[in-house]
Amino acid sequence: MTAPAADPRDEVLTHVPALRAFALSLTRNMPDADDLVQDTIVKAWGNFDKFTPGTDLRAWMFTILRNVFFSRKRKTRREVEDPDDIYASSLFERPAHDSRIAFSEFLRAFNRLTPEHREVLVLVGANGYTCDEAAKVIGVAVGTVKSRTNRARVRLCELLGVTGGQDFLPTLDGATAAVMGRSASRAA
Amino acid sequence: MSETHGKPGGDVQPAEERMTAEQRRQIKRDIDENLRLTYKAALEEEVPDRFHQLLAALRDKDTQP
Repeated sequence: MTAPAADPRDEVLTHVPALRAFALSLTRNMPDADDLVQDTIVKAWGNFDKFTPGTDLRAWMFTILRNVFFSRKRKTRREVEDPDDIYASSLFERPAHDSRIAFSEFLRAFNRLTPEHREVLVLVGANGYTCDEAAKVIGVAVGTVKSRTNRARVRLCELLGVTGGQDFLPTLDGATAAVMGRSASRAA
Repeated sequence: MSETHGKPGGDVQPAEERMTAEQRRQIKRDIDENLRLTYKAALEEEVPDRFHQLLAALRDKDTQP
């Protein structure tokens, strides 16, 4: 006999800090992030019958959170992104010899990325998910996560005024570079 | 502004503007480190009361007949 699975409801509180951190990367302000986390918890609570006990509850709630965020964003179109502007301008003029990035300028550049790029960088770069795990949270193919992460880093470099950002990524193989080349003109 | 943004194949960067390998590694380290710092700051914040109250309310609702 196996012991009955723990009730995922008991675990929710322990994931609230991570949910808030992830939400903040999407909303870029804490009041909206907290509203998003609250909606996520309420939605999760009503759907725990669909959660598979023993699987990653945090990842499951991340998926709910990002789905709530992106579906609301599509509906309201409140947040106007301007990818052309992001492509067109660097925030900083950086001499080629200056490779250090201050936290304040990083944050300013990060907040100028599209939410799709912020999402993937936070999941992979900050939260430490593998591309495979991030792909499951976002609901896309693992290749999409890889190329989107690379594009997000390149765009961060552009915003940070880092010359040569296109070729600083060491993980680009031929296939990825080809995919990036084909899709470079699209907002990812 | 460079015209090469978004065009991985169209490399017209003057050689003197290229970073050294060490500078590129430094940039990547800084990006990763700043990403972790941004996330960590939010992670370490205390959970606001509203979430304790919300979870208590949801539990109460579950236990009501």
